[in-house]
Amino acid sequence: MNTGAIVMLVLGATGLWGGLAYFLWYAWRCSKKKQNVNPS
Amino acid sequence: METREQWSNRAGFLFAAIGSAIGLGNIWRYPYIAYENGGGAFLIPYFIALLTAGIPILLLEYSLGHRYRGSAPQVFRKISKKWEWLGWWQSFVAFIIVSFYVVIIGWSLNYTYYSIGTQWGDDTEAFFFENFLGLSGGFWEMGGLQWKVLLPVFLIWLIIFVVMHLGVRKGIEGASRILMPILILMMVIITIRAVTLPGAGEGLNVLLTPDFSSLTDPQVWVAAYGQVFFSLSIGFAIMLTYASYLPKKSDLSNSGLIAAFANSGFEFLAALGVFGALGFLAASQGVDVNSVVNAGVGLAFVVFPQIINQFPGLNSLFGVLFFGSLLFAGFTSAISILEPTIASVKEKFNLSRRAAVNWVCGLAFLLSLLYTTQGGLRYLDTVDHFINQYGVALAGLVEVLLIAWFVRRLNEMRTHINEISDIRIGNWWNLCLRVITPVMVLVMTGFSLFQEWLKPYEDYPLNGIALMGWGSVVLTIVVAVVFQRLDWKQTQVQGGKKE
Repeated sequence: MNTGAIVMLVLGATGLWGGLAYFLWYAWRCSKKKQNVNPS
Repeated sequence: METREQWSNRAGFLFAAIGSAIGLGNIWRYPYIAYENGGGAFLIPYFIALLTAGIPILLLEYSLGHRYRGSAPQVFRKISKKWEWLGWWQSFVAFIIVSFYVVIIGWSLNYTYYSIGTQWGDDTEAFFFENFLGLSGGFWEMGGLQWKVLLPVFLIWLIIFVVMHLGVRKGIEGASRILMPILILMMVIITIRAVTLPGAGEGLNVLLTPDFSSLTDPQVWVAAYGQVFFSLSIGFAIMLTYASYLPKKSDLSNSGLIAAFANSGFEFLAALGVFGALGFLAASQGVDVNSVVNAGVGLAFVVFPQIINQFPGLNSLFGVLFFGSLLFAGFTSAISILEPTIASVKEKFNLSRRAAVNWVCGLAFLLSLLYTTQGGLRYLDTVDHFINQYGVALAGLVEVLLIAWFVRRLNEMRTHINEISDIRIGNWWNLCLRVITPVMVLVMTGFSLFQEWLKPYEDYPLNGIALMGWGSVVLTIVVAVVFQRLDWKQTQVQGGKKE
């Protein structure tokens, strides 16, 4: 693979899969916080 | 009074919403669109389109369904009685789409079986068009029913029928919870295998090498907005209906972002797999990758069988994985496309879910028969093109214009989202829906109309295009207006008695 293709692969993977991972993590963190506030 | 069904939890909703968004287009449309529109550079307009149109419309539909808690006609009726037809229009567009979508899932089921022992032989094109579809000589030569197509289509309808009968939680959510993880695992395996094949690097070069000069081409931007629009299951009441089944205190914004990024992440993964495999095919035939690139039906049912034929080992397994992934991606989308119509009919006519499913599935199956004839592929292709380009896009546009400009409820919807969500939505959302989205959808539709004017779609006869293409679009609007005029059979009850 050429350099341009590798750079775009990294950018695409970071933006799309990284974005998904971030929002999943954020949802998990918020639900944890809510559980701590309302332990029942 | 029958209580409104709900997802079991947020994860259940997300599985269903992602299952709806990830469909056949993620596997066979996105890779080609990216390749044709600047390669790696396409990621830039695509990402911008996702943030300025895809996610804003998705959140708008979530908020509409969740705030007004009803099917599309019910939601638009609650906003303004004279706009109920818009909900029916979106529901009937979904109904038309599911009738041919299931036929493609039927093909995928057959090809999953044909993969065992690569039963399509060496001439994959002749096998698909002549042997399998028995394609007739011309547009108006309908021919008889093609039993090889009809039987799997019937089987898929039967399974869909059972799933829809089971309801929102047990049926749609249950199926999505099982099929989505399997689909993602299958696509990961396909992609890893494809990118490690000899020649795959050249395929990935063709897909990803950026051509930044393409960013000055308006058509590339139109393609990016089109891809995002058609990929996210927006514009035909699915997300609106799904969000109406969420509990009252449910996050909307972060769920929308997760669904959107999961959908885009999946199509990016699929593109790597598809172009890795195309690179391998080109290398094994000693030709340039550009000469084997294809999209849609041709890519899936002609080119991929060729790739599977050339595989160094475990050909059948790769075939089962590829066509199985089409089957699962299509199935979870098909059940979501059917739900808006079922929910609409159920609410308007005060039917039980069972009766609504019987009616909608029964009629959609009958319509599917048209596409299982020997001329079915041409009808499917025509209806697919026109109902998506003008039905989905315009119904989505009218929805955005209604909320942003006609009844001006964007602030109300944004407040609703922010009251219950983890991530707050800012003013940018209003700007996107007031200006960027309508302008881009209008430009997109204008481009398509210009193409129709230059040349009849696929050189099909004009009367065929008028009847099947424009006819299906006009029919959905006319029937929507007629349904608006019918009375609501209310069950608004106090103490369990019907009114």
